[in-house]
Amino acid sequence: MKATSLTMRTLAAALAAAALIALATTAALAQTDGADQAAAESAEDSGPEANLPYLFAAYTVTWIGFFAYLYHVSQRQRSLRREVEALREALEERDRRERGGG
Amino acid sequence: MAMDRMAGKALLVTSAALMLLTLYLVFIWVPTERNLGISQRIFYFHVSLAWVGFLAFFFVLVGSVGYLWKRSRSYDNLAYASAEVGMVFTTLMLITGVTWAKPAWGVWWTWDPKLTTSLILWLIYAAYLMLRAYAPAGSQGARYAAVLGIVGFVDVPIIYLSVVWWRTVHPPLVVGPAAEGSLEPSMRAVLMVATVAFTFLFAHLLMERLALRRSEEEADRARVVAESNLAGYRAMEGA
Repeated sequence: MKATSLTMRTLAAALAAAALIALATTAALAQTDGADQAAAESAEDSGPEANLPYLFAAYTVTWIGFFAYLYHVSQRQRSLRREVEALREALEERDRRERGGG
Repeated sequence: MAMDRMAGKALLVTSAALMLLTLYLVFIWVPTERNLGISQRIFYFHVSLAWVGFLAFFFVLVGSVGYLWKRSRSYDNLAYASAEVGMVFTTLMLITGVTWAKPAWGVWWTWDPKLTTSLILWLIYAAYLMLRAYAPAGSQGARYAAVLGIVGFVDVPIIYLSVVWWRTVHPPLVVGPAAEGSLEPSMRAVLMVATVAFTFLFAHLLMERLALRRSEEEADRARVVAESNLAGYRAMEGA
């Protein structure tokens, strides 16, 4: 139940991160829409939009970084819960066998 | 435990809402800076990540001092969890920094005092996490790590004041007690909102990491019980 809740939270975080990346990209790109095409072409090398890939990279890497960390934590949490559960079951099984044998 | 889950969810929802607001303010509301152009918008994430990274390492300091004083595992867990989350923020601060340096200065990296001391901070806490991973389990490893957690924090004020103490290409301080540079009110407001949003995200990640730390301890205890029971069982079979 706890693992499911954590997975749901991870999924929610993933969706939120994806939505944020999409919004950031769309908003950043939308800034160039209204600009004059010729001006945009001449500014390709030196204008403010020339740095758009850097802006996009910085924001995308930040979100991917947070998502990757959250995913790592949730996976580790799940594997630990599974391990504790397996150890508990093994001990219970051994106790049952002990009681049955003697 | 249910309270923890509710608090975690509330922090996640609040940070997501604040992040959306931050993105709206960064990309649509705030004006483009005249000299640096569109790449200056990296500033809002870069500075916020740096401040929250410093906050995380302050928690490491508090947890380390608390552990050495009280010998309580709770303080040690706080220091360990905060160091790991702080490393995520500091790594992203360095990445956004080099991504901004290229369009602003024409180079990805330069051995400027602020950049160099920031890289040293990253290396100190990478060493802290390596120490936690490889030092003997139990109080000895926690003690060594606590000392490093305290000594490592000395670098934080050095980074902050490096632009005051040394000649540097890094922009002057715009926030905090030693601020020298000025920032347009709208840009300052966006920076504040971004910092609050990242602080909420930090709180959520810290809670998740602390929950994981508790699970790690539970797994360790279960392994010890299983091993001792198995040893007893083998001894009985041998007899």
